[in-house]
Amino acid sequence: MIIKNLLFLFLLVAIISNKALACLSITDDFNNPNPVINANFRFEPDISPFTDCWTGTIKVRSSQNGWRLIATRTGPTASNAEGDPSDNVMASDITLDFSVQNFGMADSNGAILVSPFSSQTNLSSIQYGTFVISGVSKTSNSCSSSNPNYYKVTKRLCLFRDFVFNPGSYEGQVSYILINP
Amino acid sequence: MIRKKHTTSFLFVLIVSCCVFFLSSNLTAISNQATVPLNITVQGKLIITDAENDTNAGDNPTLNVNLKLVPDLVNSTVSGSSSIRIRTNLNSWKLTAQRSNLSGSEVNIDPQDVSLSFTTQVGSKGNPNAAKLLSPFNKITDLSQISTNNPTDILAGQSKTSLDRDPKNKDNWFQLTSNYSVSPDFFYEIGEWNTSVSYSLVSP
Repeated sequence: MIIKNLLFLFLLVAIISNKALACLSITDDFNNPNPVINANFRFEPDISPFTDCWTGTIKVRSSQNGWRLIATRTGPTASNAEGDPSDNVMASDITLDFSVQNFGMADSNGAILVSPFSSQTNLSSIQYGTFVISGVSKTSNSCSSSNPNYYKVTKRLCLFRDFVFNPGSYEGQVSYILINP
Repeated sequence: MIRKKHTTSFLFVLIVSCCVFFLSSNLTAISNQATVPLNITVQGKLIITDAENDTNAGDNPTLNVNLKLVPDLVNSTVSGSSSIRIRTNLNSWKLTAQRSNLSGSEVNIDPQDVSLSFTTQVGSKGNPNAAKLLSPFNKITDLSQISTNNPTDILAGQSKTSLDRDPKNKDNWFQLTSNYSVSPDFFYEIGEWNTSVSYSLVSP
C-alpha cells in the first residue's frame, strides 16, 4: 500500500516538476534578469536631423513550444508641460519598430511578430495586454541566462523633432510579459 | 493499520512540501517580465533662418541682413526687402534688431531717409498669433528706429510658432519681412550705401 502511494506521489511530483521546469525568461542584453531598460529621450526641436531615436533589446528564452509576449503601456504623461494639451507628446507621435532575431538553436520561424507590430507602427498600438509576439517553438530546455539559445527582440522608438510639442517632461512605461497561452 | 496510515500521511506531506519548495524555488529563478520606463524631455529652442535658404536652417539665433541701396535719378523709389523665418516652441520670446553702419558707404543717406516697414507671414502650419509687431514697427517708420547702440525690440512673441504637427518642419514658420526704400533725391551723392541689421531671437 505504501509503495503504491509512493509510486503515485512520485508520478505526481514528476508531472509537477516537469511543469515547474517549463520556463519562460526575459533578460536584458547583458543577460541580467528582471530588466528595467531606460528609454530616455531628451531632445530640442530642430529642422535637421528630423528624429531622435532610442533602441533597446530584450532576450526571450522558453522551454515551451507555445508562448506569447504581451505588452502593457502607461503614458507618456506630461508633467511641467505648458500649453494646449493637444500639443503634448502622445503615444501616437512615437514610432515603434520591432524586430526579432534567433540565436543558437532557436528556430528562425519560432517567434512571429503579430500585426501591427510586423511593420512600423506607433506606441499607441500597445495598450493593455497587447499581443506582440507569438512564440511557436521553444528556444531550448533551459532558461538559464547563460544559455546561448534565445530570441532577441529589438525595439526602436523614434520621436520627430516637431516645434508643436509643448516643452516639458513626459513619463511612461511599457511592461513586457511572457505568458503561457 | 493506523500506524501505516500515519506513515503514508507523513510521507505525503513531506513529499508535497518538497515539491512546493522545488516549484517555488524554480519560479523565483526565472524572470518573465521586463519593464521599460519611457522618459521624454522636450526642451525649448529658438531658430532663425533666412527665408530664401530655409532648408539649411541652423540653431544660430542671430542672423545678419545686409541692406544695400543705390539711389538713382529716376522717378520711382529704390527699394529692397529681406525675410527671415522664425521657429520656436517657446511661448515667450522676442526678436530684437541692432543696426551697424558699414564702412565704405560713400552716399550721404541718413537712416531717417530710409523708409522701413515690417510685415509678418506664416506657413500653412504656422501660428499667425505667435507674435505681434511692437511700436513703432507696427506701421511704416524709418531705419533710424533700429538703434546702432542697443538691441531694439521688434517682435513680442507670445506663443510658439507652430500651430499643428508638421512631419517635416517645413510649413511651421513665422516670417518677418522687412521692406526698405529711399526716394530719389539730387541731394544724395552717387554711390552705394550699406548697413547691416542683426536680428536676434531671445527668450526673456
